[in-house]
Amino acid sequence: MLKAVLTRFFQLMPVWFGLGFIAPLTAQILQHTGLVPPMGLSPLMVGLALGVSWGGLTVVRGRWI
Amino acid sequence: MNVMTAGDLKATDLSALDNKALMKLEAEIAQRFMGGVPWGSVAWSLTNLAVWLSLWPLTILGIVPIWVAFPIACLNVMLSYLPSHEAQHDIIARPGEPLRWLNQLIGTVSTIPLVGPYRVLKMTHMEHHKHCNHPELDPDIHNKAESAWDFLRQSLSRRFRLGGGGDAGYAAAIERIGGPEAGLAQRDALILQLSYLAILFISAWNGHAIEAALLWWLPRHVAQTYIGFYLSWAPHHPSIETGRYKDTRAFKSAIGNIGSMGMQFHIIHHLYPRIPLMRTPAAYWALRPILEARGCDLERL
Repeated sequence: MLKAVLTRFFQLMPVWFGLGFIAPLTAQILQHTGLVPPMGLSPLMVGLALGVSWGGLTVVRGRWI
Repeated sequence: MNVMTAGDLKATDLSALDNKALMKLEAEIAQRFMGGVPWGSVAWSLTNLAVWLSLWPLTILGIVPIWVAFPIACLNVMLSYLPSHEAQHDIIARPGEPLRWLNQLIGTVSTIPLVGPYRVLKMTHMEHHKHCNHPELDPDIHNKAESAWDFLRQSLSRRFRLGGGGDAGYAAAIERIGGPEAGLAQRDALILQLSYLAILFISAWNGHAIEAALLWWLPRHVAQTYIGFYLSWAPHHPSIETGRYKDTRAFKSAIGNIGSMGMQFHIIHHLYPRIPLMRTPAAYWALRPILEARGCDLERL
């Protein structure tokens, strides 16, 4: 049971990584560089969109790039 | 038959010795480089870890700029493996010796920046020694590549693929070894990996994502590539032959012996794993005539 849960958790790791790391990293890079996101989006919203979509695509395609 | 000493090696025709005498002479010479605690490696391990840990508060408090800390962190993570490697071979202290605790401590804490669980590293490294260059049983065989550029291309490509890194080969080796120790190794790997991710995520969501990326995440990737290249690809290239005198070579590093962290003389390590890293150059020069007589690949070194 625990093994199955952990396997599923690690299969979805790119999503967790996107959410947990890429999202805040993107937001903080945008803030540091002074880049303003379009359409009134906040840096964190851009980070979350990028992190979750990149992570999700990675799970589907099996590759980060 | 064997009346010569190491000092006579250069002047004597080793071809006059039979296999047994040559082996005895080789072992006698190698023995001189073993023993004692490699305090240099102990100091290296603890200093390196302390410097890497200190970079976190220093950058977060703005005392050291992140662009200065990043190359230092890369160096720290690159330097983190070899002291643990000494411990994996029980060079600091064998089981039952008074300083055994130090051996296990260095083995365990050194590779924290690399996120390398000591038990996993030790078990897979012993498999590497046992099955060096074997296409299925050597856990490091994934580093085999036709050229340095091919190594770099494959290393990056593997990293981009889910579950395609060197960890996959190590996990397979641990699974193959099996038993209670393998179970503990899997547990250690899980704990360390989850701790690493938790620290990255917590740092990032507390406003320190750039520091976490440039002090740990990216330096770890740089170090994995460097370690794979100099500690695995370069000394075993072309990774085709197996056997005591054929699975490892001596090579001339473009960035010198320190730049390659002593790996020019890695052949000595495979022949006599209990010779401390810092003594492998001297052991190599003492043993070179024998290695030549054995037909080892010594390139231009």
